[in-house]
Amino acid sequence: MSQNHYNDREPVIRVVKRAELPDRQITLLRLLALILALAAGGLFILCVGYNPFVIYGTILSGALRSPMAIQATVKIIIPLLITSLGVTLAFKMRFWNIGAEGQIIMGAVFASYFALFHANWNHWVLILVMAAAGMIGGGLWGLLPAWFKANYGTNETLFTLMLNYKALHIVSWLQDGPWRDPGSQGFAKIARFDKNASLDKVLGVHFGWIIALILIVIVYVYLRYTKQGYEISVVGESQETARYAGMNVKKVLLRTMLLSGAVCGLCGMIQATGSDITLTTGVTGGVGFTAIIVAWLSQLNPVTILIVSVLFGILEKGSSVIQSSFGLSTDCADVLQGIILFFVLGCEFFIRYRLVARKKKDGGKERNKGGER
Amino acid sequence: MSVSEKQTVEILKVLYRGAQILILDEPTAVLTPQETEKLFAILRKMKEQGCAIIIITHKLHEVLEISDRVTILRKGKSIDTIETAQADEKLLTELMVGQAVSLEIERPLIEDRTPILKVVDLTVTRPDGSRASDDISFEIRRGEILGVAGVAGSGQKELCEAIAGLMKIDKGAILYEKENIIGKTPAEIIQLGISMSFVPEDRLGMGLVASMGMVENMLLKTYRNGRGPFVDRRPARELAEKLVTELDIVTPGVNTPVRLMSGGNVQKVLLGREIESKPNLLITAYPVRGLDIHSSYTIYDLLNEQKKRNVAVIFIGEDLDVLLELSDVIMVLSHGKITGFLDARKATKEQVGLYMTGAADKEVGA
Repeated sequence: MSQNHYNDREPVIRVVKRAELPDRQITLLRLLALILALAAGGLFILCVGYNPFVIYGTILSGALRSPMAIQATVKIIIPLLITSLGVTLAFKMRFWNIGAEGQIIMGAVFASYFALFHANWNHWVLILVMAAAGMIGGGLWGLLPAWFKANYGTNETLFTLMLNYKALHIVSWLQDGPWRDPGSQGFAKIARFDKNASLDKVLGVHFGWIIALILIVIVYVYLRYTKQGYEISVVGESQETARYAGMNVKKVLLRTMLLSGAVCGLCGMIQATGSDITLTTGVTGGVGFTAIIVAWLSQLNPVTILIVSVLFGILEKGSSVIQSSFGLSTDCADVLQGIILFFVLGCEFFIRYRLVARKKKDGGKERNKGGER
Repeated sequence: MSVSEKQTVEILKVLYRGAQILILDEPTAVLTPQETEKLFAILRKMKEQGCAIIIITHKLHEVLEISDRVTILRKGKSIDTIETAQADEKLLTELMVGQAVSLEIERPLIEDRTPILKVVDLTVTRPDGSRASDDISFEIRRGEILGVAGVAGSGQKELCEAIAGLMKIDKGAILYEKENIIGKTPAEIIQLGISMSFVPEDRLGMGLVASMGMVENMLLKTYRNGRGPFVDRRPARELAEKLVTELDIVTPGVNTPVRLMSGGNVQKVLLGREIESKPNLLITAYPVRGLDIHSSYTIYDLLNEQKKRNVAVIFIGEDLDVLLELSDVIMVLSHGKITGFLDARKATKEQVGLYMTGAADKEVGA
């Protein structure tokens, strides 16, 4: 028969969805991916001319060798951890909030207002007001795309992304204009905050880390055990079902994005008043995007987010140490991070799909399916 | 073009390409009995011309009518292949289920039937602008099963959603215990004791959350109960466990995601939950879709039990034989309009079929 051309169209390798794997196997796959990532990274280090074991050892010791190093690592972890928790709230609802950057910045802007102009208030009142302002700033910045989505069905991915740049430009404008430090000559920047307006240190690090740990518990309990958390997961799964169950989908959407933005905004306040002690355009340090990876790698589980954030923090701090002690360029450290991420994320693909190679032709007689329903 | 015409074109297309084997999967789901007859005439002609035809169907009388040989599948295994001439419905059922079952659907008669829901001149428009319900009026009483017949897409889904408060209503009124429920939120309507279980083609659709387990799904409509911000999962777990034992639901555990369960079990979960919410009005659409005979009869029993408890049941079905045996009154929909009410105890399939195409004269009176 003349119809075997249908068979020729089958590609050499096909992607097939897997039946669901048991949890233990998934954990094993992930571990395997991590080992492969370290091996591939090691190969790369070897190619550049260093001993991978020494480099890996330095990353670890660089991040944890002394109390000072640990404090620096923790400072990297704090914003990443809080922001990951923030976006997790939105992601649970399948709302692609990639605007954490903007929400962090707006949180920082709102908090900075009080730090700059009301620095003479009672310290704790000021801190509380700044935290609230940060949450309101970030929350409103998150609420905006949610409101448009709820009412006009706009695409939240584009909307939240674009708001990042808006927020960034607001800070640029502030430091060039209204909030410009009069004491700075020529170079436009915002003044350093008063000591009264900066976060206190606990064990050598600003107490943002305590807030982060408390937030883990709050987000975990909120998503897992509250009615609102339940609503978030139903809306995320299917808005139709949520409506059927009598939920007010719009309300859930708005409320959740307000919270998601508020947590990110709180992160902005902590960064500005705890870490930078001023407001700059670099207040986020890019955590708004890294947090997305952290949240997904952790399967949106707050406790896993803690672990993944710590690992990310160690990697980042360690990388900076190998830069300084081995003269390895920043790019090499980035490549290394990239390789590790590539394997770990690739592993998620293989958890859901597998590849099937084309079978040898068996006579090629198979026909096109009779298209009928 | 009507659905049956579209289907004919589809078949012609395949023949034109020179197909020798035709595989039809549930081809009659969207057809009236008369149209089915036409399809079968085409198939017989094709057979005479030397085509091989495989027809997959859950309607046994179709198997007996059209096929020469019949293969019975059960849980993915081929059980037996027999000559159709030597088979009858009883034998086929036994082979399908693996044990003898009675094919009688009982139909208890409830004497005291007070009206509970009255739909007056209901008009609903789909998002694409077409009329889903066009000036529909009917009434349903407690202790009664109102069967709704009609080819797929005649406005059944929208009727369900309108009563459940999920669709915007253009005109008309829905009176529940003499109170107009239009404008109430779905949550308020659930509180009134109106419960809807719609089983769409993909089965999970809107009634269940696929990635959640039974316990979480039990909470869907009741999670608001109880004070405080926290969800109380204990009653839901108890309910899930109760349903598993009472309805013989097969699942590895009450927390296994329902998407991993078989279709029959999923439907039992859905219907079980709706019934356990002790509704006054139960709307159920296609509850036996894709189910094996055994599970189907479990569902019919469940519905009858509800009827005996003085619940009003709206049963939207595909299989006319079942509709005729189970319902008290049959309401026929065609293109969003009610084309007739029939006494299910007296009506015949052909009559219902005529109303389904909208061909019969409009006749009022239940």
